[in-house]
Amino acid sequence: MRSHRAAITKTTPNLKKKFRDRVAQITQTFAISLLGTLVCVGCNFKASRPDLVIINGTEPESLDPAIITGFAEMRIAMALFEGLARPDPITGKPIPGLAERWEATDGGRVWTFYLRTNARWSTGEPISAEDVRQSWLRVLKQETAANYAALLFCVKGAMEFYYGKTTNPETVGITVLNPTTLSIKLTKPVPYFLDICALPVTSVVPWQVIQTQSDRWLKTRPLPSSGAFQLVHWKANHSIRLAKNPYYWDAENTQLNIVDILPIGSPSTALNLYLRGYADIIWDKDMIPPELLEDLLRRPDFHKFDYLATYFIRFNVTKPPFNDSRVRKAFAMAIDKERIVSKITRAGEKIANSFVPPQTANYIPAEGLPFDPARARRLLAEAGYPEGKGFPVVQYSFDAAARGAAKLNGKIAVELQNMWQNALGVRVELRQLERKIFFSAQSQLDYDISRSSWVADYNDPSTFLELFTSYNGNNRTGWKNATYDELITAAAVEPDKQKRAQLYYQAETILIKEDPPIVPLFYFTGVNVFDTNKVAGIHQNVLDLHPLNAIRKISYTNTFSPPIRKHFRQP
Amino acid sequence: MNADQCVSMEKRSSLGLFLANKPACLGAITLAILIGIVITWPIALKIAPLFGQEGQAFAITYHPLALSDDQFQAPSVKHWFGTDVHGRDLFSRVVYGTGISILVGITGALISFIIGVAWGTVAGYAGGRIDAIMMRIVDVLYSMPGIIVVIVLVTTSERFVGDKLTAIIPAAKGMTRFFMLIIGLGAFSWLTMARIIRALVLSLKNLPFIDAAKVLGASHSRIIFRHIIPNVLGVAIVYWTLAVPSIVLYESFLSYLGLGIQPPMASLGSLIAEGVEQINPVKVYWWLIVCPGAVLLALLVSLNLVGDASRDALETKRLT
Amino acid sequence: MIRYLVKRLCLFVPLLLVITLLSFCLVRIAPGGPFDRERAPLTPEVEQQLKARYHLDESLLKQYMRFLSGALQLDFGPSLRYRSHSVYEIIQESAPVSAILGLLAFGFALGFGLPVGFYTAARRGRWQDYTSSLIIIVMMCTPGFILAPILVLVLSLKLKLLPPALWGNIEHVVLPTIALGLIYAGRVARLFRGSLLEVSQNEFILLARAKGLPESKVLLRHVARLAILPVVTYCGPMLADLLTGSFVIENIFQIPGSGMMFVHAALNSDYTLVVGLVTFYAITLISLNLCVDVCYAVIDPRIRYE
Repeated sequence: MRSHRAAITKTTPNLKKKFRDRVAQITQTFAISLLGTLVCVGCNFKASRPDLVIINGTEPESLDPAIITGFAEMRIAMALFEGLARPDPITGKPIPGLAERWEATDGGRVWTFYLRTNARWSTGEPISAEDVRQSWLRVLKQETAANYAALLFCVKGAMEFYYGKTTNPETVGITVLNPTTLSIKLTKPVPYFLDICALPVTSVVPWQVIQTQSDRWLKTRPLPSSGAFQLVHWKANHSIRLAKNPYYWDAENTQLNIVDILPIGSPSTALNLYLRGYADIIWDKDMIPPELLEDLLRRPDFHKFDYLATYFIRFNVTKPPFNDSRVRKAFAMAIDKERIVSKITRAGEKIANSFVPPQTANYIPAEGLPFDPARARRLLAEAGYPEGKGFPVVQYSFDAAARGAAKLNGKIAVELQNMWQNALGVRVELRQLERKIFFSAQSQLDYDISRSSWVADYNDPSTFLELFTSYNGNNRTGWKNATYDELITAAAVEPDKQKRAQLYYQAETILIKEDPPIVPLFYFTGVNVFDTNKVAGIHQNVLDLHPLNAIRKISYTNTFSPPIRKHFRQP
Repeated sequence: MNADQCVSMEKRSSLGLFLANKPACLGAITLAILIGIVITWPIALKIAPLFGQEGQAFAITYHPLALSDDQFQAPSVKHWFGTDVHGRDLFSRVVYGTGISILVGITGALISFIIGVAWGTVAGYAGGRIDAIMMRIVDVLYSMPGIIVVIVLVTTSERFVGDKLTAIIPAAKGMTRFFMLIIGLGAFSWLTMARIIRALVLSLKNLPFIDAAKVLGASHSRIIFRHIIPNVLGVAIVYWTLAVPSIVLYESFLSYLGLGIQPPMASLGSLIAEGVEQINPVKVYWWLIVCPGAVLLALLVSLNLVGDASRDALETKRLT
Repeated sequence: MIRYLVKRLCLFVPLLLVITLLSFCLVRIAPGGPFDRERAPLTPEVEQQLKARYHLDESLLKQYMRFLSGALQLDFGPSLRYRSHSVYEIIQESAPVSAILGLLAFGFALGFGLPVGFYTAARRGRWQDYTSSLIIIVMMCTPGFILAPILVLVLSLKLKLLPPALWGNIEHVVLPTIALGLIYAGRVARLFRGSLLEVSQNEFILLARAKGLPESKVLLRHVARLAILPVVTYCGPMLADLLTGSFVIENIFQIPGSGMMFVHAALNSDYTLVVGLVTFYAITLISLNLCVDVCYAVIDPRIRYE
């Protein structure tokens, strides 16, 4: 027995010891690294709490005001950079921004802007008229790749400068009279010129920083901003933090100090964060789960409003069968728009009789095609397809995301398919495409019918109606109508408001009644989510513009709400 | 284990060892029930219209793609798992989804089975330099970020592969993603199988009966196909059953992210994703997550139990 | 040992090249460029300008050469979707977040899995063994995307104890860690239990039992040190799996880690970011595997590498 024991202890001790030591070593290093991680975790988390947390929709692609097109980006860019005018928080109409007053002379062809003397960059330097001029010129340079450069073509010499016919910036009609006065000459009087001056594309950007840094200018810190807020940090897909710009001319009326903007991708997460108090405002209707909209809209903190955007469908008029306008009209009159807004979208949208939303300024609503299945069938028979016989199978293309409000596109598609089948007896296939592919297919006219939407850039019918001129890049239907083109061009130069509205009315009647390449379905409603007991200064307007500096917090209990103790309630 | 137990273990077959493992039996029964439902339900839906009006109504109500107006119904007698956002019956969708998940799992594992067995057998049998090179490649592939490459592959080449596929087999339209998932997932799970098969073939190669076959003049391919592979199959099948749950898990992971099975086809992962979107304190549609989630859990647990038990049975058998 | 390391490192570089070239080509084949959107650029010239600026109009080989020369200086170019951010910056900001989440889940997996496995092995043969074995199997098979929404629903929305999403505070860490780590805790528990049972068959353990020690003491003092070996070897693959497992968790909890970036980039055809992230992941995984092999060789002197 004794020797047996000795044998065991003799052969195994060294191996066991080595194992033990090594395992001990590894465990020690692991424990230390875990401890270190926990310390890092603690340090990494900042303690400063923001005054306001806003859920803004998806991560902005850029904050450069000259190139952005989406609403989510525009809201942030408008907080950082201001232009000659800015939108009124209540009505959305343009009111003085960096310019304290202006004069229009020569029948609206010459505008003189008088800048505020206390206008400063967030780094302290004064904002001069030269800064404004350079910012406008930058939009007109092709290498900036500004999507809205065409809005500035009303300025004399702008179009020639943009297309490179001249390289001398002096030919563009923007002149600096003195450091605080700017004069802009237009080619023709434009009724919505001030709206353009309130858009982010014309806001004042730090052109000297851009010249040295080019694409990376938004990464310089401190970033000189001309608006009410400055950029503290911008972490992709994490958060954007804004702080009050102390040199802003209206800084004393800006109550918020730190604002966090969160790019949340999923509507249910956005809603959960809001309902738990981790966010104060949700801006975007896309960030609300569409299935819950009906119930949520009954709550007082869900504010509904109409805004200038239309959901419509496009036909590809270059290929049969939709090159025949009777077929298009038949399809238009077979759609029961009421059913779509009451059964599917259900946010209280109004059906669209005209392409341009009726609340648009300077506008007389045109009458489109009614819901009349009998007449639709007659037209289809006239076109050579009685009761849908012989009608080729066509495709309805739409973009859909796996989640979010884009799912509605799919549901609407199924409804439309049913309607056309039942009313006309035609078979329409559904073609769902991923977003990017969808837009490129649309541009290349690789579709039969496709869904579309358009949001107004400014409050005037031209932003909608100019889309379908034969030379507009966003036409994407192949539709060319000489009369329509003439009417739109005439309206663009018509100084008399009434006559102008009349011309647009005539043009729109062609667009939606006589020879329609499109069928407007409904006007979008927007939803802003915020508690009026906690946040003030947000007013619903048709442009959905809510300047950040007008918003104030009423109470400061936003981040952690203690759990409600149910058993303390009285029996 | 005392001596008596050792003896009785020797006397039992692998099947006997498997059956002694009670949880595994439970798992096998669950699996059989799931597969049974998955096969019979679509058949039931197809033949129901033959039974007149009621049959027609049945087929329509329970069709997984039939939209209706009763959205978000809780589980009830009419809809056993409730309905989803479009008013589709969830039970039906879960059954079809399970079928697709199982199909992807089985065929993906089959692909890894085929590649793994082929690779391991050739490497083990050839030996020497060829073996070294092949195993080096396996080592190298082990460190590749497998699922990441699958994600990139699936999101980028789908259109390209789809066009080529529809050109060859027109009926396969819409199934591209399905095929790509099977091949992609199978193609990065074969490594462990190859290693194990190779080790086995190495030990088999030196046994006397192989020498005897060589002496009798059998060619290499004859030896491989007639002698080695039949002996390897047992082990390979066991590891195949272990690979299935891991592929099912990966597939549901990808479908959850929106990178796997695309609508209108549904798999358990995408069904769960739809359910997760509905999480909010206002209206709790718990059945949208719990039902597909429970089915996925049951599937994975039973697959794991069965796989483990068969591996244990095999190893115990081999050791004794 | 050194020779082994050098050999592995030599394979490292070609492997990396192959992976990056593969992902590079794949991403280019994908349809739908990064510049298509509802409002098209005004003129084809502008689109041409953008393409020229990001060198998308050059041949594939040239673009790849450009990428390689940049990569050596850690410059992977700007993200095509978030044009003000460079890929390197995005990785720099998001990788630590994922690393923290991964390490915490790793800690949770070990900290929860080891005791559970130990408890199950100590109570071997009794009813506690069977129930906890069943619990372990269920833990092993519950993927994060089933567990996370249930946790959010119960703990965050109903009981209002924790935040439902985001990252930035200690309270944000709890739910994602549990959701991510539970499945690995189950695997660790099972592995540890199996290993404990296997090692306790050894003769010297028989001796310890003969001395009269209770079962749990036997396991703790003598068996555990040896039994931990398979768990240690599993740590490598576990860390690698945690990396990919984080994709879904980051998605659900909107955590700004590299997993979420990768999924977004793949869905947005953001070429540069995808290639940059794949390179980053490849380097991480290859180094992890190398470390694990080295660790294993260090721990177990019986292992010899040719």
